[in-house]
Amino acid sequence: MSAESQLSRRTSIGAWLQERLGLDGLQYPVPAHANALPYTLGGVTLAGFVILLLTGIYLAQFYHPHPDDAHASVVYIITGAPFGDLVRSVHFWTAQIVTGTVLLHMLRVLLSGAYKRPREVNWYIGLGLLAVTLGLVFTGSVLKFDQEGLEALQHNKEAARVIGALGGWFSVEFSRSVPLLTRLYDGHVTILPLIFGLLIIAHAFLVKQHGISPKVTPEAVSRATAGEGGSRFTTHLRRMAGYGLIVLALALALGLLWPAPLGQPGVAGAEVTKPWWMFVWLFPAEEAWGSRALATVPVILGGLLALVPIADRSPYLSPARRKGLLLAAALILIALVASGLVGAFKPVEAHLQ
Amino acid sequence: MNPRTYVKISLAAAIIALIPTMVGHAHGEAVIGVSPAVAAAGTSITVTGTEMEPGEVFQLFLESASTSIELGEAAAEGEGEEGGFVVTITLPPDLTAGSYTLRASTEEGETAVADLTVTAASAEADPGPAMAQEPSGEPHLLDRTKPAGEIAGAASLALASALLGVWLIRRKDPSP
Repeated sequence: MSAESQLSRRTSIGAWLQERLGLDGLQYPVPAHANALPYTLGGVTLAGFVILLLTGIYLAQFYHPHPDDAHASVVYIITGAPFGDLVRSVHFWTAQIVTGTVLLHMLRVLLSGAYKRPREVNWYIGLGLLAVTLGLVFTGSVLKFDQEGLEALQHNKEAARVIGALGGWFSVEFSRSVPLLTRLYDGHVTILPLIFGLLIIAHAFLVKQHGISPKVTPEAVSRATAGEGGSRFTTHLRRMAGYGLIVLALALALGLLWPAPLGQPGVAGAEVTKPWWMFVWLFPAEEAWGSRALATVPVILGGLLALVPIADRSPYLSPARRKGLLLAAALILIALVASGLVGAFKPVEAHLQ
Repeated sequence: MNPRTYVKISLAAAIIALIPTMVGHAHGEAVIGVSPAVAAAGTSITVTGTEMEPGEVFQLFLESASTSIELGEAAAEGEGEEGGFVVTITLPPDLTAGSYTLRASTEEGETAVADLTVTAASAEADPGPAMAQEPSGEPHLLDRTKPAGEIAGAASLALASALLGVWLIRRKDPSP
């Protein structure tokens, strides 16, 4: 086949797809700075969630969400299911990477003032997505039902007791016919992904409506940029896919080198492990203030994040014009990191009543 | 909306968010603990109740998804609002090994729960997740070696993904 006929064939396939799918609609303008990595972190996270969804569907074929069988089924995934250990490891490492990119994405939004008018609602949707992401990580850590998972479940029950009526779903009493572990599995594979899907649609819709926040310069002010820019959304989408493939490569490499951990079968009532890095910062607070810290500290932090668009209502994006808020945010971040380091290096102590 | 209204709305939202926590603490809900948390069928456990009103009588049940066994009752003793109980109970010798919830309930509906793992009475019992005698934070040692083909395939997929990813990121837009 000649080069000319190949080109002609490709053009006709492109025209056929264009007529039916209207893909040209994705070529709307976006600012060139939207293609820089810091502004692509949200897209990288979304690509990571696609990997989590696909690997999660595979793992669900072999996982048994009952307290008596859960740990044994994870052992089977590792030792018996085809590619089970590798797929589980990719799922585990992608979850770690995605949690990191979510936090970095939020930090970028905070630093670049992208929460300001008219993007306040999208900031709150983003907080919802952060909560759902942490919920998915937490429920995922419980499901393996090893000692660490069982202790996480016990902390879950304790936090549910502290928050009273709101914690009802997380208590054993909510359903005597279905174990709490099974309901957490339901949350992990149906409820939380559904909420995530709805929130991410709203998040993407509002990004499209307002456009990417303007580039940060000393005089830049927050405004809608939809329809402006020297690049195209398809370029942004292509780079998102590229970074998504790098996340997959990284998760595969990490999974081969360090397969996802699994502890000994859990024994109720004991505390001999520590939570994963995204929760270990709560350890010192729990030690100081008891179980109530498990519920109140995250609520206070969430409340402070919710106050950001209300506390900082100036239109300026430059960090130099937002020193007060960013200094407060930096101090809180340093406290969280320090608390995490203390929690990570301190010997394990029993906290639960 | 003026700044004062914003502040008022924020304060109201914060108070509403903290109400459940306040209610939880104001109630002084009954709490029970079980010692040891892992016990063999036929052995004795000690159930300790705190934050109860003196005189309250609690029925004790051992429950799993499929069974509910009444273990007896315990009356809270003490002064003022600082009531509680300590009772020793012998587990049924034919109890199936597994994870249980020990529930203490009053007729008025006040309930407290604690986890209990029951191991088999016999030393020759089948091994399984609920049979671990000592809690351990150590990894579960498994044979995680993979066939060479799986490793090569995964490494190739990782390399191909990385190369394609870098190509997609670095590719220049076609001229308009």
